[in-house]
Amino acid sequence: MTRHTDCYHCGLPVTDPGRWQVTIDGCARDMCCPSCKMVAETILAGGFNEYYRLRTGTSGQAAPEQNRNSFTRYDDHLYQAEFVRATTSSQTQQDNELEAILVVEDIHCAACCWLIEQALKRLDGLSDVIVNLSTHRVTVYWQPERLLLSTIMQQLQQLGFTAAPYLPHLEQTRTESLNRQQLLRLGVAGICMMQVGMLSIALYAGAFQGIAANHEHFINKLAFFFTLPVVFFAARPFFKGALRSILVARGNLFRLGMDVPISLAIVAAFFSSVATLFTQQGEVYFDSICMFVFLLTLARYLESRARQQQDQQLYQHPVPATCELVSDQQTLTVATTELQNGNHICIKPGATIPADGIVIDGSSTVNEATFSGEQAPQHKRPGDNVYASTLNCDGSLIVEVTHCQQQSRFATINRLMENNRLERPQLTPLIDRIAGFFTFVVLCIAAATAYYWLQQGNPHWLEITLAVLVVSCPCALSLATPSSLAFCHRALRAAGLLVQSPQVIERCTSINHVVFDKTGTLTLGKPHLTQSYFFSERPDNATLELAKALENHSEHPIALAFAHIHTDLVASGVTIETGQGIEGTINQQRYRLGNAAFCATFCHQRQPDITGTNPHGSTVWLVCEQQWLACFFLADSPRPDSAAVIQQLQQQGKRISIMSGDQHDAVVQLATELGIENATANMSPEQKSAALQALQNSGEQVLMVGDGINDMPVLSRADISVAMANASDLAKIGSDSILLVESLQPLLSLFSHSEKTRKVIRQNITWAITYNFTALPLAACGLIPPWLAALGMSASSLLVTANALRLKTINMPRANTTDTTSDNNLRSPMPDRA
Amino acid sequence: MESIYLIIPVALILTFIGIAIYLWAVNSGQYDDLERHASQTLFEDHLDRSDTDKTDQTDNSKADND
Repeated sequence: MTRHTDCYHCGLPVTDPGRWQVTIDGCARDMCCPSCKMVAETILAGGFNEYYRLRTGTSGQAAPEQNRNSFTRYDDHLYQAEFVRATTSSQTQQDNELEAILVVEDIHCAACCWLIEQALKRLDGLSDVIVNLSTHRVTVYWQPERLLLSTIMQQLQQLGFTAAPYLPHLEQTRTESLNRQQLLRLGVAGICMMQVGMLSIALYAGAFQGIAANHEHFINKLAFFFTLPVVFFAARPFFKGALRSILVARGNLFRLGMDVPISLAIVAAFFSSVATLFTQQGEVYFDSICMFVFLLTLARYLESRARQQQDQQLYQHPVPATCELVSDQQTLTVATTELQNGNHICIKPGATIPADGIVIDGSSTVNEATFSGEQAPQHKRPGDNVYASTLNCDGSLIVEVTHCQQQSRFATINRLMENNRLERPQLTPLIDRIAGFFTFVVLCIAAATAYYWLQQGNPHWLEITLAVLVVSCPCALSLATPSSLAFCHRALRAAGLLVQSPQVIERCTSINHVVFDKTGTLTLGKPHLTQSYFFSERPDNATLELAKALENHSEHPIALAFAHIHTDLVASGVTIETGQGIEGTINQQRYRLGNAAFCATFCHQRQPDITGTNPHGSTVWLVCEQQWLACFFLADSPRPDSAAVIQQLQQQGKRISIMSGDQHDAVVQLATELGIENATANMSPEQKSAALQALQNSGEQVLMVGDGINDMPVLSRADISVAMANASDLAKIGSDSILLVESLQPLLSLFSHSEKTRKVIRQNITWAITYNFTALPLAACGLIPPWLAALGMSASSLLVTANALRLKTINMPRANTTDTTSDNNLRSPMPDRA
Repeated sequence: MESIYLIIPVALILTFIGIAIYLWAVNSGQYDDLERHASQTLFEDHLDRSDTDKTDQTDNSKADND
């Protein structure tokens, strides 16, 4: 294996070193593709060299440059209506200023934010730009008469960021307002805790040095005022939780949540302190209440922030906002939302279909990967159905709308998905049941303690009971697992794997068999130029450029194989024969690119013989009228990192299998190339399921990686399922986790990090149980005052959260490897910048 | 010691003013991004300034920032 370098911009392996180089800070750096090179050059040209020094991690792979016209739809008023509004803020006194929120998924670090802000601010007419790193959103304010939104979008594209309009989401808006609420409660509790703490210092000093009774009373009253917002505002979630848990438990005392003893303690302490204020006899606990509420809120806040995974944009396959309505021989552009059943719409090649309908005129191929996961385009003729969100490839269609936007299959699936996510059954993990039982025990012990000390005539019975309630609350126990999982999931998401099911980490450590699908999983799933034959006296590059110039007009997946070629040639008078090929004029000469039969009808020379065979891919010929020019073999090649990942997994002692529906030869060839022994080809989904079940029956724990809807049954049967980034939406919903990047590397992170997570969870649970069992008897004996109980219990929760925080970053497994070649293939999270 | 009857209530009022400012700050979205601003100081903003010099003639609102 040749030594690989990683792309300096995006960190993907460079397949062709030296081809795309950019000099950054005096060093020549290799890039993986012309797009990355272009982005790096744009960044340098802007004087933003600092970006590369200060970023943490690598940037996203740059998307191929799009031509300006592809952004013009953002200037359309109908389209803008959905996400652009006039500025409301009074800070900028510009009349006629617009604002829009864009989602830019590739924002990774503060350097990205800086780069975007600095570069956009140079645009004339842009008043302000705010980049939010947590939510990956960019808010832009601009003056429409001086700047077009499409220019902003294009500038972002040139910097290597892909932007999309932000359309708010019900669930997401709810989480965001919840976040603010939590922060408010935390802050208020914190401020008040500090004030009450300051007052208690006076009281403690008074207890030692003596204090006038009226002064003490005055200070207590003030502490009462500071405690009010803590009890009635900051602690409200605990009361709510307690109430809900009592309602849900319906008499089953073992299912009481830990909010019950917490609320009980707060309420009891608060009212007994208030009583003390009036009677001037007994103790006040305002300081303990404030500290307790603050520390507990802090622990929960940290946990919930880690838990929120912002997967907002994951499923949004945007349906175009505008479309061409055909009425009375003329076409006009209307908003998709205005479409009605029975309308006729015209769909141009390369456009996304806006609504479900029946083709009434024209023929084309449509890529329905959104639904079927099948990348190969389907032929559509009059009478066929087309569906919203699918992509029209190479011909124009006139479609009669049968299901407008809200009734379309796409909308239905989207709704289904939203519901599934909101109503996903919350499994009660074992630890929560233990905590529920423990809560009940704590309540019993507290009652027994109170009874005992009352019988003994101890005036401090309430104090002791409060200490028992507070000190032994199993908060740390219930925080132990979710906080660790939350931080682990967050780290994995940053590494490119979205975990959807909480069982993944738990099961992952026992996985000993990994099953891969072939196409789109181990391979790229896109045709790739594997071999070219040239028959003319022209330079090979010139011939390739001819092919590229023709393919520029095609949306067919085959065009992807030529995407890396650059040409200034322009083809005119292009016609596309669906399923055959493409024909066009370049420099006054007609050319055809397509299958052999299509070319043979154009050029009457004898078809040249070629030595190789290409049984698994398509073969494309290029001809002009006089002669055959070239023959291209296209095939699906393995992902650059597949071999390295497989090797690492094998080193960890995991068995690897391929289960594929493809032809035998192609599968065997790939398996040999990647060093995989078990490869089965020609499998139907049912056979895959059966084979998987057989593996499981023989005691294997199986992780399955796949895409496409035909993998659905297998994926749902596997112990852990992983869907690829480009998998169909249904496969994504059904699977336990989703790879967010076009790479298998995150699988390694998943295995290494879940091991570490399990360790942390075990430590946390051990600590929580030890703490509760030591503190409980001490408190019951009256040896712990309430303030110390509050401190101990909250400190225990915080300790557990802090321990979980260690999982926030992933150490790439490269340290464990002994093999240097595979080591070089691994993407470093932080490339050297000497 | 009678001064505490004046000073501590003043502290109470100041605290509630502080809380009010905090509520306003959170609700106006100033705390929506808690990750980024930690490293804000690492980045120079002179690029912005040199740039505004160029566009001063056209954009007066920007000049106020300098």
